[in-house]
Amino acid sequence: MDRDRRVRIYDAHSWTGICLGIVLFVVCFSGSLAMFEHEIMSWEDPARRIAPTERAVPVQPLMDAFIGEVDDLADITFVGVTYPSVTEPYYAGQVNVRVDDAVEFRRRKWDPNTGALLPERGDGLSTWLLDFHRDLMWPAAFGGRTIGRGFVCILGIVMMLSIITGILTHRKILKEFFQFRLTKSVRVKWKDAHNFLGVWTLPFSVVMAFTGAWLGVVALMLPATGVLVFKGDSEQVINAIQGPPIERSGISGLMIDLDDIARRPHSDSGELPVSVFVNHWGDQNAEYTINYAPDTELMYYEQEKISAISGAPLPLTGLDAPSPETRVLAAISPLHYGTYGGVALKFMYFLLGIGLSAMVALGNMVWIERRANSSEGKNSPRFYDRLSKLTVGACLGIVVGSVTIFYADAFYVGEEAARITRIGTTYFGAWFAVIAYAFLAKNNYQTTRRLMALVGFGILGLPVVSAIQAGALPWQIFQSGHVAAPLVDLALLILGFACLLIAGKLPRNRGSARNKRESTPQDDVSAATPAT
Amino acid sequence: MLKWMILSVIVLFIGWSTWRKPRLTSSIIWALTATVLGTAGLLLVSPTEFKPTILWMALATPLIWAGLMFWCFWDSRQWRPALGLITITLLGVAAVAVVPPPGA
Repeated sequence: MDRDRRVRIYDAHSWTGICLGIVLFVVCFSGSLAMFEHEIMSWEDPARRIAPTERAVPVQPLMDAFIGEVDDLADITFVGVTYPSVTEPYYAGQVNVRVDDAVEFRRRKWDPNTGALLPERGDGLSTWLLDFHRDLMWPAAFGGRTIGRGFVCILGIVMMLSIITGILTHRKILKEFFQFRLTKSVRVKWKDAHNFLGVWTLPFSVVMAFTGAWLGVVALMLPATGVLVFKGDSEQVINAIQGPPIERSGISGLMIDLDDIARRPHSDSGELPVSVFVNHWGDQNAEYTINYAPDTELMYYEQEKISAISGAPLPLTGLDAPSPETRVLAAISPLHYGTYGGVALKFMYFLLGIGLSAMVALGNMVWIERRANSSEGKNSPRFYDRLSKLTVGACLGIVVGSVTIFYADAFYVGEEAARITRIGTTYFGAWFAVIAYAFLAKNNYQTTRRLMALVGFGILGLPVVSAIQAGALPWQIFQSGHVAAPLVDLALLILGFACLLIAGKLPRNRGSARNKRESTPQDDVSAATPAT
Repeated sequence: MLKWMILSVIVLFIGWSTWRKPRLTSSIIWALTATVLGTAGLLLVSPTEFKPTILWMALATPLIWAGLMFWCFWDSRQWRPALGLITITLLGVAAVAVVPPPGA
């Protein structure tokens, strides 16, 4: 590769990082937490810490009563029932009802041991963690969630560009697999850490960038394609993909009991259903789409569709119909959220996600360090100092904010509908407070150490809060048979100690004079800059 | 009137920025327009069945988009990617304007 091309590609790599690095960090870090949405759901609400039962009460009467609240069955657009599982050990029902021109989402949860309705809880911690990653909780005043999702999609594309340019920029990529010069200056250590994390997380980064970009593309491109291909009618795209919808017959029919469906094994794998979607509840044309755990397949569910009246198998249509393209599409979400290999895989995803976030932050810090402490920088030292503080404050601020909302959710008092707003204000409040602290503090290294220690202590306090709220210690809950919440507690303990350990190892200042002498300009530019 | 004025300002800005910084503008703007309009045009003129084509196209979109952005920095001539992407965009616009929607 000629020098000019290498310079261009290096510039593209570094400028995309410096312009969008902080936002990329936010998306990568929030994604690492978003994976545990279902586990955190049980953790955040002590009422959901239910031990699994062999003798669950029937769900059919519960759903009948729930559906009975709707005046006209024709207004129901969707019914879903989720059977108890390890992570969500309760019945969950959802009914979507058309009210005027809008669709209202109604949800209920029941204790499978008693059939008692679990207390209604507004969207909170788990919802925030997932949705902030998916669409940055983009406010409706600025275009709503679709815009946010589109923005995250663009970040995925930028990440793909960064990966391609990063691979081409680093000529000694095999060497970087094992290069970590701990005795050199801070800048060299950061650069080595950036490269080391980059090459070790490379396959993961590629998968995350592609699947993340694709998940956003659906929100962004499908309406755009509808407008372009179908001359403004985006509904036509959905019809062309999903096929014409089956209409209600208007004749009521007696549906197969939902508890019988719960005992209906998959025709191939023998797995029992995880959940069931009901189309046209109570109608002669009612259908059950039964979702099974996908065994070892790379998909969210294996599905079977039957008539809800006769039980006769029906063909899967639209995106559910088996074909090479739908099979590939079905793999994208599980690949992105790591749902195909149990809790161990999720932890591996979490570590890789944190590694990816750290790589992005370190890339920015290397860029700033090089310019702040060499003739390469065209701006004043004050400018680079502020940029450095912004990077430290914004990156660690999102970490502190994420820990803070665990407490905000646990100690929330007020209307359930306003819970998510409180979570949001706490999140941004903590984030901005950390950014302000980073700007006020003189020593960036000390700031990082202190904030990391704060995060560590903050995380270690969470299992205590959880035990106080539940009125039982984690191992007592575990012994009762509930797994998800104690697992989150254990993970938090490990994570808290890990953060304290890292805080203890972080440098207090820029490094000794001896280290500075040992680092040469070649150390910094050897692999990452254009050949001279 | 206001809508047209805003649109004119945007068009003028894109034109000016393309003239000043063809590589950067191509990677930020023309790569996106070429991806959206190019895939829409391809969908319209493709003789294959609509459903699998749009799904494969949707799968390929992030790769196409990132690939076109990368081309802007890879090519040694700064105007080649710019002109290439503008051409793809215009071809896409022509296909969208001329070809009837599938099933029409």
